[in-house]
Amino acid sequence: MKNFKKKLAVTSLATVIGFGGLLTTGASAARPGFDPHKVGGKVIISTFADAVRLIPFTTNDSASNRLEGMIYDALLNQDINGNVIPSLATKWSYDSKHLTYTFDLRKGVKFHDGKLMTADDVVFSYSMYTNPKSINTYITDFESIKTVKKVNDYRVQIVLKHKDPLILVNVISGAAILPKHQFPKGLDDYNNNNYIHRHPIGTGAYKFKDWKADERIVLEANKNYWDGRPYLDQVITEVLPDSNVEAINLLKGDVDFVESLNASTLPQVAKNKNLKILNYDQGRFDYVGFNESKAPWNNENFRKGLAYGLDRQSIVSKIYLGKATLSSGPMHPKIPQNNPSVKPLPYDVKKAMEYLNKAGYTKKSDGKLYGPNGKPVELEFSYNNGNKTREKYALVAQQDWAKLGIKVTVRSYEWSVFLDKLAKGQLDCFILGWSGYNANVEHSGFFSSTALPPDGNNNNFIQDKNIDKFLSDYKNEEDRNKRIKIYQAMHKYMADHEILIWSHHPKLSAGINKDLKGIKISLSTAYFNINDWYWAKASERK
Amino acid sequence: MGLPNPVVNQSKNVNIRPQETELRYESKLAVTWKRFKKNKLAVTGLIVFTLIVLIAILAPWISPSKPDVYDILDSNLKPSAKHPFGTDSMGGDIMTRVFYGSRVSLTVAMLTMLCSVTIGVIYGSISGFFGGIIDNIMMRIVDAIQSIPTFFLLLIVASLMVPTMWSTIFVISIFGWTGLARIVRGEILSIKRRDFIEAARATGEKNKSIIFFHVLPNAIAPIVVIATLDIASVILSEAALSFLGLGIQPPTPSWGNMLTSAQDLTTVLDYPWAPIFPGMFIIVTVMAVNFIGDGLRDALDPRMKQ
Amino acid sequence: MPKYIIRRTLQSIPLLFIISIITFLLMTLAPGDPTAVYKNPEGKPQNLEMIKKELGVDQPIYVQYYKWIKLLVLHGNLGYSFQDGRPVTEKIMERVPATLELMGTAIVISILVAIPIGVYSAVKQYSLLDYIFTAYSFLGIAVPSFFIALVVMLVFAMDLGWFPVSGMRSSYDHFNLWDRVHHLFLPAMTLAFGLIASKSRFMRSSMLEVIKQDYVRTARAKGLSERKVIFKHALRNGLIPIITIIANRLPDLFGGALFIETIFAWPGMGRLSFSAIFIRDYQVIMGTTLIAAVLVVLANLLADILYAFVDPRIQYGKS
Repeated sequence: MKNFKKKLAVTSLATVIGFGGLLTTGASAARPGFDPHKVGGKVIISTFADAVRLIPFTTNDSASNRLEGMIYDALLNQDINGNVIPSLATKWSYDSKHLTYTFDLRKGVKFHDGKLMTADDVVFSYSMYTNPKSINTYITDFESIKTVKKVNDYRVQIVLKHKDPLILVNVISGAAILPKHQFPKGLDDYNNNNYIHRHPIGTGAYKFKDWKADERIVLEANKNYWDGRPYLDQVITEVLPDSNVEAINLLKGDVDFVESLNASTLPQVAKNKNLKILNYDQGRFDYVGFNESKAPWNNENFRKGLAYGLDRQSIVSKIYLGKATLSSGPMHPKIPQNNPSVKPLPYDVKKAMEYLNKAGYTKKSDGKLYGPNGKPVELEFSYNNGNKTREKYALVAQQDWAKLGIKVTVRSYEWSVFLDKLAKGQLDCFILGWSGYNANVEHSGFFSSTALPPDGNNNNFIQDKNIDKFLSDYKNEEDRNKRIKIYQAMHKYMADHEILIWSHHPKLSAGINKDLKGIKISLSTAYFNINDWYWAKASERK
Repeated sequence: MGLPNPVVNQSKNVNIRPQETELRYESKLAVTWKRFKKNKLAVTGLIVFTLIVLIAILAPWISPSKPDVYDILDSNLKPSAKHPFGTDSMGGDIMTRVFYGSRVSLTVAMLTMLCSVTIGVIYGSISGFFGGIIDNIMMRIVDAIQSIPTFFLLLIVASLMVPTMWSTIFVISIFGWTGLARIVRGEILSIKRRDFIEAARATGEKNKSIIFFHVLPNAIAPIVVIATLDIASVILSEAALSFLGLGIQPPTPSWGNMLTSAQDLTTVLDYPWAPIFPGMFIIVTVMAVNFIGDGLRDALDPRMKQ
Repeated sequence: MPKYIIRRTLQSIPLLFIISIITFLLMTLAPGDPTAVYKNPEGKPQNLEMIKKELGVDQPIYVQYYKWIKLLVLHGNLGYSFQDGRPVTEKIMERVPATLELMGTAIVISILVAIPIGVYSAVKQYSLLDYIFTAYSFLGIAVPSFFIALVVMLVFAMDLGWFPVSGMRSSYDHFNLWDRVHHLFLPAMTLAFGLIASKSRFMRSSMLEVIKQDYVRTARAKGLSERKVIFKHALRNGLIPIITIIANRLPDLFGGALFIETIFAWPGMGRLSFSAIFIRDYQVIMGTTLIAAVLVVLANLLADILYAFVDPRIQYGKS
C-alpha cells in the first residue's frame, strides 16, 4: 500500500519519538485564562495505525504514545521550549552530595477511577519501569536510578547511582504515574494484563472511554483534572490507513485534524474553504546516510565531495516546495544546541570534484569517476518504498551524482527489510530522517560508538572518539549553558567533517478544520496543548 | 493464484475435455485456427495484443523520450505534442514510461506464465502418472495451497524479497501453478488408461517419454487456454503487488507501479492523464488476452460451438 | 449425509496441518525482526534478549512450530500476538464479523445480480443486452480493484455525498441497521463489481451448456412453457458450477477484501493480517491464515452439501 507505507515512513523516523515528554498542560496550576465559553465539542483526529497498548513504555508506536500523553501525567512536565515545569510534583530539589532528588507531590489529585494519587503510586510506577524483567522499551533510560523511596504520602525521593543531569527532562518528565491499585499482580499485570493494557487509567486531562480495534479510540474530558478540565469534551482517534482516504475524510468534515498531510493531498486541502493548513517545525533532521566504517564512506573528502555535488537547495525548493530548511548538522535551528555559525554546504560541482580528487578519485575521459582501486564508482541509493518524496530525492541524487561521474542505481526496500539491512550496514547509501527531539536533545543513541547495531541505533556505524567525548561530556555536564556549548561544538565538528551528508529539516503540514482554535505545536508533538484546543462556536457543538 | 482481482482463469473449472479422437497435431492446429478466426472478439484481442507486444519490442525506437529522464520542473504537464500522454509527478514522459513499462509488465506476465505452466505441468504429470500414494500426497498439498488465501502468502514471500522484476515473477508463479497441476493431472488420469498408452507401455517405452510424447500432447488444449488466461491474471497481480508497494520498484516503470504512483488525490483529480494511460494499458491488455483465451477455449473444445 | 460431513471434516484436518506448515515455513524464512516493536528507539542496549526469550523467537524454527501446534492441539489456543500480547483468537474474533459482513454481502450481491444476468444472456444469446453484459463481464475483471475503490469513493462519497467515506459505522454504542448498511454499501459494491463480472460470465456459459442438453430439449418438446423450462429445469442444473466456483474462489476473495478493507478503513481480517506481515507478528499471521483456511474449507463443505440439494443425481456416503 503505497499510501499506507508513506505514512509508515513518517513514523519510521518517528521511531525516535518516545521520550519527548508527556503533553504539557501549557500552564501551571489553575490554568489562568480559562474561558468557560470555549468548553464543548469533540475533535476527531486521524492515525494511520491503531494503538498497540495504552500502558506507558510497553510499546513505542506513535499512536500509543500520543494517547498515553493525554491519559497520564508524570511528576514533571515540559513547557513548549522544553523547560521543566511542575506537574504531579509541585516542588523538587536536588541534593548533589547524595545524588538525591526529592519531590513534593500535588495533593488531592485523583486517578480517573476516583482513587487518590499518592507516593505509593509513584514508587510503584518506577518499580515497574526499572524492573529488569519489565518490557519497558526505554528501560536503559532508567539505568541511573538506584532507588525510589517513599518519605511520606506526598513526598518521594529518587536516588541515583551516578550523576545524570538530564534525568529530569529525559526521564522524570516522561515517566507516567500509574495507579498501583489497578495492578494487583504488579509486574505481571504491567507486562501481560491485556485488560489493563486496553483500559488505561491515569491522572491526565483525558479519560479513556472506548476502544474499537482498528476503528477508533475515544477519550473524554477529565472534568476533575487538577489543572482544570480541557475544553474539548472528547478526542476521538480514527484509524485511517490510506492517506487519500484520510484527506477525503478531512475534506468532507468527518475528521477535524490531520497531523501530517501528504504532499499529494495538500493542494486539495488548501482549496477547501472549511479547512486551514498549519505548517510547523518538527525536531528532525534528514540526511543521506551510509556505513561509515567501510570504503568509500570512511573517507571524509569523498563524503564532502558528494555533499557539494548534491543540489539540496533544489531539492528543498522543488521536492519540498520550500517547506524545509537546509541543514548543516543534526541540530534543528530552533533549538539552542544549534550552532548558528555553521552554514550548510552550497551546491558546487567544482568543489565537489576538488574534494573527490583529494580523496584519490579521478574523472576520466569516458566521463566515469574512478576510485583509488582503479574501478569506476557505482552506488546504490536506497529509500523505503512507497515514500514518494524520498523517491524523488533519490532520483535527484542519481542525476546530480551522475555529473560527478558516479553511476547511481536507485532502489527501494520494504520498510522492515530496509531496517534490517540498515542495522546490518548493508545499504550503500540511503535517505532517512531522525525525529522527535526538542531543546532536550540527546543524540548519543544515534552517534555514539557504544550504540552500534543490533542493540543501538548508530546505523551509520560512526566510531569517532571526538564525537563520543562530546556526547558523554554533554550527558555529564550539570550546567545547562555549558551543556549547550558542548553540543554547539559537536555540531561544528560534525559539519566540518561531514559525518553524514546533512540535508534538510522538513516541516510538516497539519490539515485542520478552520473552526478548531488554540492549537500550538511543539518540536516534539503536534498535540502539545490539546487541553487548550477549542471550537470557535463551542456551545453549538455540545 | 490468490489474486485480489477476480480473474477469469478458473483453472479448476475450465470446461475442456480431451478430444475423443486422436487427431494429428498439425491438422488439429489448422482446425483450431479456422475456428478461432471466426470469433471476432478473439481476433480483435489477438490484433490488439500483437500491437501491444510490438510497442514493447519497439519501445526504444518509438518512445518520445527515455524512461530514466526526469525533469522535476516539467512535472504534471498535460498531454501535448512533446509529451503525447503528458508527464508524471516526477517529470517523466508518461508515453515513454508506459511503452517501456509494457516491456516490463509483459515480460513479467509471459515469464510468470511460463514458470507456472512448467511447474504445473511437471507437478500434474508426476502426480497423475504415478498415481497412488504419491498422487494422494501431491494433491493434498495442492488442496492446501488452494485453501489458503494465497494472497497473504504471496505478501509474506514478497516482503521477504528485495522487490525486482525477477522476484515479482517468482512470487506470482510460486503459488500460481496449482490450478494447472490439477487439470493436467486430471487429463493424464483419464488418458492414461487408454489403449495407446497401454500400447506404448507394452512396447517398453520409459515413463518420461510416455508422458512427454503421448500423454502431454493430449492435454495441450486446456494447458494452452489456461496459460493464455494466466497472462491476464499476472498483469493484474503485478498491479496489485505494486499497489501494496511490493511489486517492481520505481524508477523501473511497470504499468502497475505507474498506476499506483498516480493513485493519489491530487493526481487523480487534477492530473488524470497520469493514472489513465497506464490504467488503459492494463485494462486493454487484460481484456485482449481474455478475448484470446475465450476464443481459444471455444476453438479447442468443439462441444462448445454446436 | 451426516457420515459424509464427518468424513469430510476429518479429511480437512491433515489439510489444515499442511497449510500451517507451509505458512510457518514461509514466515520464518522472512528477514525482519519480530521484536522490532519492542526496540528502544533511542538505541541503547537493553532487554531485547529477554523479550526474545519471552516470545520464544530465539529458538530454532521446528521448536517454535512444535510449541505453536502443541498449544493449538492441546488447548485450542492460537498463541499470543508478539505485538501486544493479546490472544490471537481474541484479535481474530474481533475481526471475523466485519470480514464476514463485507465478504458475505459482496457474495450475496454478486449472486443476486450475476445469476439473472447470466440466465438472461444465455437465453437471449446475441441480443443487445447480452453484448452489454458481456462487455461488462470482460471489463469488470480487467480493472484493478484498488483503482475502482478510489474512483467510487471520490464520486459517491466525496462529490455526491451519498455515502460515508470510510469506516464500518458511525453509531458505536448501539446497533443501527441503517447506519451499518449505509457504510457497507460502497465497499461491498466495489468488492462485488469484479465478482459479478466473473460470475455472470460463468452463469452464462453454464446455462448455455444446459439449455442445449437433451432433457431441456425434451422438456421443450413436451410443450412446457419457456419460463418453466428455464427456471424449473435449466436453472437448477446451471447453478451447480456456480456454487463450486463461489466456494473455490473464496481464498481469492480474502485477498481482494484486503484492498477494500484498507481503502475503506474496514476493520477486517485482511488488515490485521497485512499489518502483522509487516511487523513480522508470526503468531497473528499463522492465526489469520489458518482461520481463513478453515473458513474456506467450511465453505467448500457447504458447497458440496448444497450440491446434493441442487443436483439429485449426487449421492453421498458411497464411494
